[in-house]
Amino acid sequence: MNHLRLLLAVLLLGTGCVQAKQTLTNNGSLAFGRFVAGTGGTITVSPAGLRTQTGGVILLPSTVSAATFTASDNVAKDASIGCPVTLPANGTVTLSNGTSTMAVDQFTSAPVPCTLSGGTRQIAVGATLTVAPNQARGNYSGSFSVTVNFQ
Amino acid sequence: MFNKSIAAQRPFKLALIASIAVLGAASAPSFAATASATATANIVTPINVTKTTDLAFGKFVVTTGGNVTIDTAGARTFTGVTLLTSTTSAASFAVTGEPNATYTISTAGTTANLTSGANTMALTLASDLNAAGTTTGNVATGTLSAGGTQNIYVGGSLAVAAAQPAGAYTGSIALAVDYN
Repeated sequence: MNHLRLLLAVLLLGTGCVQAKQTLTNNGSLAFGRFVAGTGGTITVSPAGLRTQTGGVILLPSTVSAATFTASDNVAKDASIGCPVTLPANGTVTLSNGTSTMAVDQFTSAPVPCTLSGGTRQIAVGATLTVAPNQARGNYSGSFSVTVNFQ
Repeated sequence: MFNKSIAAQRPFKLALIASIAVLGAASAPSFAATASATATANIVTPINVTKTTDLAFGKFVVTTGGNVTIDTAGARTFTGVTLLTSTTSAASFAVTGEPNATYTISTAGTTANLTSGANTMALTLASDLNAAGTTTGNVATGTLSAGGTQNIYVGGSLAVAAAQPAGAYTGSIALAVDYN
């Protein structure tokens, strides 16, 4: 009798939480490209992948890209499911060449608002890099996390 | 004992009904997914160019007029003039910057002539990256060494008129380099 009660209770609790599998996959990196530090300044890559600078930074021809992600709930017919994005806070992300660092802030994403279409959505993320005067040369890299809270 | 079990069952059934009602009224839970991405940047050493040696055609006397040429190795050839012993040299420039980087080379802005007062002689440049004796054509791109350096050698030709007036003629080479 006790076993039966326990089994019923477990079955009832289990049926309330069945959902399709939500995923967020990174497809590409955020690349600020090649440049000369000069007297320093900032470099911004927009979610559209456009690069601009302020101050004395000299941009050079190179590959530049916004980071891209695919949000999906793996249900092909789903539309209008919200996929709002949580981005890193200012002061939490840096790039390093092994000895020197640069801060990456002002993260932005597109599209806003984010909603799935056909159960999926491509999300792009840009940010702003701060370059010190005469920032040391080299290849800098770092990583950051993005979260989608499916609605 | 039988009575006890019936009494014990009743509260459980009530509790079961209550919990079904609660689950039915609950809204759909939201779920989160997280992913990481890489961010990169590449800072390069600024490119710079400085002159090491001037282009010197040296001294000569005009006979019938013609050309005086200095090749990128500094050797002088001529027509229609008589050369006089003098210092001659090809120009050379030292480029520094990011190891192994490629760059463009331009001499736009160089004076079209060497000038002495109102008198001019047309100047045509020739250049290479290895002082190989080039007399025509200009190198348009270079590649810095693993140490981030490269030299550019510049020679040229002067058009000397038959009645070219005597004098000290001067001009300037403008050499510009840019990462590409």
